[in-house]
Amino acid sequence: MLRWLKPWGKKRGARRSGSRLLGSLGEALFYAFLFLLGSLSLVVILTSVRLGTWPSHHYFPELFFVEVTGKVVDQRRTPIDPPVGSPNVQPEILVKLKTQSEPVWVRIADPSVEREAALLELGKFEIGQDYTYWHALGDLRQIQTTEPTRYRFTLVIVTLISLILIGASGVGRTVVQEGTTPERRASIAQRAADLDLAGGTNHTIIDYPSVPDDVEMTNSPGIHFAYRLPIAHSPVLRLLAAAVFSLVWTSIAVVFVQVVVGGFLEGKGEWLLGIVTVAFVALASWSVYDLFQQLAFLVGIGPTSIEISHYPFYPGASYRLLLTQGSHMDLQYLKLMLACDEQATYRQGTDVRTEVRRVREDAILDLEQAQSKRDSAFEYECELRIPENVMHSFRSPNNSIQWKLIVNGKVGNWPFERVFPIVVFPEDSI
Amino acid sequence: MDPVVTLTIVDRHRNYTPGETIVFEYTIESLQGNGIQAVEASVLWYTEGKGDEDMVVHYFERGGAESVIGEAFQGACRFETELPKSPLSYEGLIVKIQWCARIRVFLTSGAELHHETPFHLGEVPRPRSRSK
Amino acid sequence: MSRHCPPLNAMGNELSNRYSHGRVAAQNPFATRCTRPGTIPYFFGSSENLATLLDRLDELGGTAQIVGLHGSGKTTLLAMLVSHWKSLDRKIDQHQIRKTDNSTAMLFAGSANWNAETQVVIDSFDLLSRCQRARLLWFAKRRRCGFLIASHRELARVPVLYRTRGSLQTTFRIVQRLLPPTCELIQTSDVAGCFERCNKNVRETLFGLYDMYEQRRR
Repeated sequence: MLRWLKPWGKKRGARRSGSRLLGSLGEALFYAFLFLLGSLSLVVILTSVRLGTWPSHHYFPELFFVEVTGKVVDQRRTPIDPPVGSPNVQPEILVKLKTQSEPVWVRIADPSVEREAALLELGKFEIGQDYTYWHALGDLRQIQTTEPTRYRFTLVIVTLISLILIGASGVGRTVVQEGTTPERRASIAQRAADLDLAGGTNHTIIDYPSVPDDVEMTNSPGIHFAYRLPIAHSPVLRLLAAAVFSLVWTSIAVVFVQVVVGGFLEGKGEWLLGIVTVAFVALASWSVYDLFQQLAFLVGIGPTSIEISHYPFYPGASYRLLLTQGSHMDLQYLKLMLACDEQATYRQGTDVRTEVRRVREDAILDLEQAQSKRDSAFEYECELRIPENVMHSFRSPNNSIQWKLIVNGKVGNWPFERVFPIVVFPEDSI
Repeated sequence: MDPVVTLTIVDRHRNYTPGETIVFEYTIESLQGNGIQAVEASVLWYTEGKGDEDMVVHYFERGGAESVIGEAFQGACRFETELPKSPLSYEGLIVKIQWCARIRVFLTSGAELHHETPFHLGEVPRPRSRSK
Repeated sequence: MSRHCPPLNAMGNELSNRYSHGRVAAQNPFATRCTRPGTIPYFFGSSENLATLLDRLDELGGTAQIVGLHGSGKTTLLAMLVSHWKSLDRKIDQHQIRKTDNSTAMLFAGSANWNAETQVVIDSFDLLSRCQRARLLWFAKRRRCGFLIASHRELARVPVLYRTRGSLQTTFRIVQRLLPPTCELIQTSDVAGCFERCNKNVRETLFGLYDMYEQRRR
């Protein structure tokens, strides 16, 4: 399988060496550079195409060729002095263009052909007949009888778009990697082969009607304990959504800016479009700001994980639990609680009304100042006891009873909450 | 006197445990010439509270007149089922789960008799109201 | 407001019988299974009733709209009319428009079977686009079927049959009907206070009373 290009993320065996944060930052910068290179180059090229200036005018003159018609008034075969063994005749026609008073000589085979071939080429242009020609803007010396191809320009545009896509996806991937701790993923791959997952998960929907499916609970082995619980809404997904929104909106804003600036430089500026563009640029700026805020939020807070010693959960039973909070900043406080919510959905007319009521909340951990060192994860191992005589997890189309572990904390000035849904089985099934 | 159907639980007790077999008995009285077209017996749970009602039938049996009328007139008809492991009866704040057995008798006159008997599966106490 | 309000169980009601036998005694009378449209009737004002409404619908040629705010009783009134038409064995094509399902597609698919015998009933008609509304009105006119819709705002080109309004008096009557005869957990002052807090939305008031009932009986 082709490995993803990882210029900074050094690996030694299954673990990375050096600072993971610096590695991720380096990767993010590298891909951000690719993205910016592609974006800026694209903007410059598109703008210069519109304005007819350098660099497009210099490197892609074919974009600026003008189509004209003209009458052939004469033909000739100019002898040339080529290297030994090369063709020695250059066929040319004298053309009276409709846009020019003076006729010009046009080469019809480039660079040169044999004598017989030259006659054949000249035979395609009868004297007195009109034909279509293409010449460079403002330069009749560059005139030709075939339409110029633009594949070089297309190739460059495709390359730049590729740079943008590689850069954007690289940044996104680096962020994802940062959020899901690669060490843990490597460990999971190793431990997955050792653990007998099937042993603890013989609970099925058929055995326990209306108890939610618990496959997600056990399909991720932990490092210290048997299972790592799934998180309800990964912050990485929100970040990716913000990244996609920002990229799309910034691209749109760039195109608007290019059109408006080009218009003003040509003296055909449209003020209304300019005002709209300002709004687009403002929104694009906000989306970039929001993206970096979220990036900083995610990197600063770090991933949260909960591992449990065994499963399934039954009322009255106890389990070992390990809470890990990775953070690159100081934790202000950290709380862990076990909660049970009732959720009811009511649809009538145009209303869809969902109400959630918390019926139970038990504190497991409440640390005012969780002493964690920068760049090292905070870990807390404790007992998780599911209360006795409580309702099991339940789900039907419009009603549900949801058990969850909730982690609340504050890193720097950022409060955060991460929810880990769990499935509690009926008590009598022990 | 109008026809009446009654449904009772044999050897009723307060709570039933998952896996336990529960037996129901129904009688149809005062038919007075009315014929029975069909009888439906079911054991089910439904939700109630602030959400739309969900209902799942655990046991269902429909019989024609020939399958029930003799027994019903002689005494009582019975049906039984083994209770599932979940969901347990629950009386939450906005979600409640009620177990019950229902009997419906369709008369040849077009009339319908029905009776419902609730019971508790499991012993989950009510949660206390929790102020946020 | 009086501190000693009389209980709302002065009037007997047929639903209360459900609590005396067969049902779980602890059932909350404001649970949605007891309050949803179809389980309680629409309470008209003093000069209106179902018969006058049906007469007016005939006068309007069978096509009309019921207009009212959220929770004012539009769906309940539609359910009452549908129940009446069903008792007469009238062919009903009833639809509830929702943004999140295929209800619109089902509606248009069903419209192929409309004829002069059909009574079409569409709730939340205003959720359809202008073009869809025009097409359905045209279908109904061409097929000469009855066409009754409910909408949150008055729509052009459809005469108004009735305007639903949530009133405190109506809410009292609904609560009287729902509460068991001996229940004193909910007083008139509770209903009035809840009605005001819920901005005169009857449906929300019933949800509020559910919570109140639940809290007090525990």
